[in-house]
Amino acid sequence: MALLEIRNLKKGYRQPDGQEVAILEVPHLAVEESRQVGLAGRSGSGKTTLLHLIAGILKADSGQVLLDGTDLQSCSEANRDRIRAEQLGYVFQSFHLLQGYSALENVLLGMMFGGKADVGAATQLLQRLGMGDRLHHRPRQLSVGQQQRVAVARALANRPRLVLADEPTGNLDPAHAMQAMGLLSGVCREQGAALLLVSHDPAILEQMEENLDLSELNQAQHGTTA
Amino acid sequence: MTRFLIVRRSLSQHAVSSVLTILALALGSGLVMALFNVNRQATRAFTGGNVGFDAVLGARGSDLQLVLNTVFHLETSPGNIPWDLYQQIRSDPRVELAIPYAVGDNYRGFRIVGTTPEIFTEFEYRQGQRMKTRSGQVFDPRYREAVIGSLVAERTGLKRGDKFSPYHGFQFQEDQRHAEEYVVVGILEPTGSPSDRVVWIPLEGIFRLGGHVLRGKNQEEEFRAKAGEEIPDEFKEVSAVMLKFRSPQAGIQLSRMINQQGTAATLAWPIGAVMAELFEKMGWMNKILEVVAYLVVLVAMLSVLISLYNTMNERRREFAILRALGARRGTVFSVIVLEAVTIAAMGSLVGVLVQSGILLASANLIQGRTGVVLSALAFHPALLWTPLAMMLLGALAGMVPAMKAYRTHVADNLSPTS
Repeated sequence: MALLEIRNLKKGYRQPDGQEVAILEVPHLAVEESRQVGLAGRSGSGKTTLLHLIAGILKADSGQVLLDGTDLQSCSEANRDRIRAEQLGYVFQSFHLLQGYSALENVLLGMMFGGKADVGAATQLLQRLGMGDRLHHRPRQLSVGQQQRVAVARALANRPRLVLADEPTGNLDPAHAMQAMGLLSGVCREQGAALLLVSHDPAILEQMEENLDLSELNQAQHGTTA
Repeated sequence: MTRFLIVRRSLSQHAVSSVLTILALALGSGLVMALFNVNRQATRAFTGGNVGFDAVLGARGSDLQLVLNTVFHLETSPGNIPWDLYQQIRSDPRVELAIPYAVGDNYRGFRIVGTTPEIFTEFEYRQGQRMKTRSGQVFDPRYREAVIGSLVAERTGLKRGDKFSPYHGFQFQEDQRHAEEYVVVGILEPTGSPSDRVVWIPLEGIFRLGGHVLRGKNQEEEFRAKAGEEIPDEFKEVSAVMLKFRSPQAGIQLSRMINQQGTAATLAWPIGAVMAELFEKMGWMNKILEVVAYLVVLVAMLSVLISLYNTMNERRREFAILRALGARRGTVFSVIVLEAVTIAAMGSLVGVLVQSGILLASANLIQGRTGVVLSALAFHPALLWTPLAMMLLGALAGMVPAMKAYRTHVADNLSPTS
């Protein structure tokens, strides 16, 4: 059984004139346990929406998002929040670090909602990512590359089973992008977490074990409406 | 722990508005606590009854004026009573102690009371406590000697051996200076009572101050005392006689005899009840002050609501990130409520200090005006229930912005910033 399986997932929105517009319609997508999968696609092809649906941040109009057999779409919002805190890690394109908090606190917050805040483990993870001397620095005191590492540490702090990464190297130059990718991929592998990574960058996608193109997967892109 | 970390960070991120809101709450809560505390302490001090005397005998008129004038050394004297009335009450077997007071002069605003040395040897201002000199001794009634209260010494700088001239009237007026000079022979230890702001001189000294006219029993004839000349008893008069009874029944009997059957004098008895009546009459003023204080608290609470509500827009992304990390809507809601409660709690804590400050200032003022000492550290239940009520109100005020945070749309607020 796949760790993540998507079945007939549909998401659209209603225009002011009442017309329904489909933005995402994915008949099937699967990510195996510990697998690293790249997801490409044109701008506006619904990549971020798909990640939000998988994370339970958005609710689909229909279909299923099965995480280890549990359908997130039929769960209550509180359950989705719990599953997201305990089993998912999320690396955002612009990192979304909390500005008033230190690097260590940002990582700890990620752990707290999963109910297992451990200063030692958070410190160790940051040290592993080369941030040992920046634990108490605020995001604005860190370089973009360092912020990216804190974001990776936060996503992996709870030892999630699946890490979702939305253009995680989008703000980095090519050299740093490859370095960051190596870290993300390496730590996911160390922890046995699957990785579903959205990127435009072919060099990054080449690092993945498998690549999917959402422009092809998304039936809504082909003119089908919900 | 998570919630406290978020609240702590939010407060430090919005330090200026947090501090201003906390100060507003501190002022409001401090005012409420101080109001209740000052009111209770003042009421107890003025109506507690334990002023050392049971009753005051004075000229026919208001018993409240009589008590204010003689016990608290405030107000003007309602008039004088003849010497024989003093002698009569003094020899009454129901009376344990009768000390005459003659007033009408001041030294730089501090009241001068002419009396007998019994005020130091017999009168107990509190159970078992007599006025004692901390330096010098009590006056000799034959000489122009004065014993001054501790507050008089502190405020006027008068020392033992210093000479001063009394001023006519209760209010200090430079041009009302008497020619006679008195020498300070003793300074009293602080008593925390109105006596601390009194200059005590011999009774006869008041009779003999230049310009004082004695009428005594026969109101039509005047007598002006000359140096060395004996003052006939029929011309002597006193402002009041301070009384201590042998039993409570004496108060009932003498009150009936003097107030209901007689017409010459007033017996203010019991002193605590007379003062309680005054405080009861002033109750409406306290109510208004209470309402004002509550309004200040309400306005301060509104400032909590507004200051938090104003930060909600800029914090939408923060809430969305927290939600994306797995925080539940309820967690975000409770964080904002907790933040409001924390602000209210901090405001109340600072409010306790503000309360002590107000109490200290009021205590100085009240001591200066009445001699009654209030404690800035005194406990009042308001010191407990005000912070609790503030936190409850804080929680209510926090619910409005918390609801806004609760409704934060996660996906909409996670769009890339760059």
